[in-house]
Amino acid sequence: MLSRRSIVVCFAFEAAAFAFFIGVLLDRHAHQRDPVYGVNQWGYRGAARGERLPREIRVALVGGSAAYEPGRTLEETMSNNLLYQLQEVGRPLAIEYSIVNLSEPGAGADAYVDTLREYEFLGADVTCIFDGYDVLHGLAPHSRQHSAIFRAVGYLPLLPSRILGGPGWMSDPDGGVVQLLRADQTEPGDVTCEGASRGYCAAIADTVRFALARNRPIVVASPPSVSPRHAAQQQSLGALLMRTFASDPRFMYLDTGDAIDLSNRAHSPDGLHRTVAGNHEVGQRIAVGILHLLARLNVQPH
Amino acid sequence: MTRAVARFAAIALLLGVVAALAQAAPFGDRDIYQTIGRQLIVLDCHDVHCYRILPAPILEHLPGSSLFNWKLYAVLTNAAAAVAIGHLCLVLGLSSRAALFATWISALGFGPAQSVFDPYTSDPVMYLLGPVMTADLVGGRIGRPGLVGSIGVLAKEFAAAPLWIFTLLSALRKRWDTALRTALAATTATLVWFALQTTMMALFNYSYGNNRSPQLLSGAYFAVWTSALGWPRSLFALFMTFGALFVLLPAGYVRAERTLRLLAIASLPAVAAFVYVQQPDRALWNFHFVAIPIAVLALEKLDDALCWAFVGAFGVANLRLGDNLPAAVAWVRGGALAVSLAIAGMAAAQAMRGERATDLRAEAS
Repeated sequence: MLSRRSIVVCFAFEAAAFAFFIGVLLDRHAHQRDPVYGVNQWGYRGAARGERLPREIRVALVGGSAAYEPGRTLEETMSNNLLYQLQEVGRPLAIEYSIVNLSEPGAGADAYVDTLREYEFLGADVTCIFDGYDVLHGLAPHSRQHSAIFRAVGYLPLLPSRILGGPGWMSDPDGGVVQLLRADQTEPGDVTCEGASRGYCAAIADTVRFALARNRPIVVASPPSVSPRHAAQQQSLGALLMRTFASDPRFMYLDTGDAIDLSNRAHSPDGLHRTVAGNHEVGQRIAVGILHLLARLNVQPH
Repeated sequence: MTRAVARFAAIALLLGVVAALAQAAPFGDRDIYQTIGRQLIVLDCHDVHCYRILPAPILEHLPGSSLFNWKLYAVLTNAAAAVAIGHLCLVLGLSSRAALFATWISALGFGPAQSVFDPYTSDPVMYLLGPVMTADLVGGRIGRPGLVGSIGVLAKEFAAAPLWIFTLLSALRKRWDTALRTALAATTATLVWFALQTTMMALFNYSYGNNRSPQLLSGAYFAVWTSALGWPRSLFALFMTFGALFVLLPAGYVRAERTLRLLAIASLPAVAAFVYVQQPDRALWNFHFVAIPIAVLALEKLDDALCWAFVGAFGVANLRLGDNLPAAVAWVRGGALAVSLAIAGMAAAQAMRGERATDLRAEAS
């Protein structure tokens, strides 16, 4: 038999638990209120959608700032442009293409395996790596991977940081071009996979290996070149990946370094970020690559 | 004990025959319950049933066909619920004769008939938990029904209702200490339910979809139901939930002891709430553990033959074997309803006369 004091303590505990769960509902509501710039409750851009539609083929996009495009509306991103291209092809065939954009701002290549592992439950049919140029490795300060709650249960809380007035998860800005790859840099002299980008290239190769080990087709798309050093890095990465994985039909490397000219204002407002037209061009190139890979493997919608 | 087992077996046999004869339900929630049963978690589920994670995963993992397992569950659980009603009547101080009739009325009522016909539902668990938990609470136990209610909300939200009802009942009796303890059990069960809803929404992207139940300010599910059926059919459907028991209820209430009367009063807020947010007729039957003990207090004034005739007619009126049956079946059911109403009218009149005579004797003495 509980004493009165114990009963009061139990009520207090329950009141706190109710408050916590109401907070969770409000947090989820806050996620849903910002579909344009924000991330969903599972920590990625776009609507949270786990269950598959009939005849759906799902593409997972992995990358850093270049794929996440912080500050840009969801509608304008390369990810959405890629989706539109795929949908246009899929519609007459009654195939429902979808994209889950798992990229995060400021994420380095060594974070991609963890990302794929974290979101394995989404059951993507094909993975696309669209890497950035603002970091080579590591995570941004507000990466979802730094959230203990996200790591524990896969839910990315939003409200605590808002209430405390701090920056929220996934709020890191695009870091621009990492110093190593800037056009005005001369050191180190070798930015290829044999030189300063050795760790970066190995991380991308590990990601490909991870996807293939799970029998997931994977496309690695190099982003538009932001500098000659960046182009050199990506070309050496392409060569490395082709040497390692070319014999596997589930792998494809796409060089979209020249897909658009970033000095053209129609494609880039600042020589680095892409306009909607630029995203359309890049998205189209990647869509064609993904469709070729799926056709080669005869992947059928579920 | 032996008598209860015999009654359980007889009811299970009868409901089993009905389940075997019944046509397959043409629509319902079969697909979603089968999916819940196989997967437990249905990502992005926008159906209110997805939050009812019991007993589907157990039934769908049993050997045998899905339909057979669900029908067997409906039969056995409803039979157990009927026996539990009989036990509750005894706990409430009713005679063993009244308890016997209550058992059979419960077995042949709207809820069992509906759930044996279309067994893909958590409802039978609620029909069982209502009387089981209430009997425990009336008997002075709080911990066990609290635990049962906290697990029961995983099947359906109604499992917390008996705890809230008894909290209010205790408050009406000014037994504040009991009310406080039962309120703790009720809030615990409600917290478990709320935690389940929130967890499913946050982690697995569940929602209520287009279900109107949570839209409390715009009529909730009651508005959908009444607008779909129209008011006359809605009122008839609500009447058919308890049917002839409605005729017995006023007379039974007059004859009832204070505890049973207060139980009825304490149930009213929950009745209003569940009828408002759930499918009203099915929601109403959840409260059979309050209605039947009161109704049999009026019925037991009749002799055995009439009581059994009432039980039989009541059962036939509720019988549901299919949606495309010959017109003659509808006529038989209508006739049975008329017979049950007539007998209920006689019982109610006799009970009221008896009550008046008792009052006069009390005044004279």
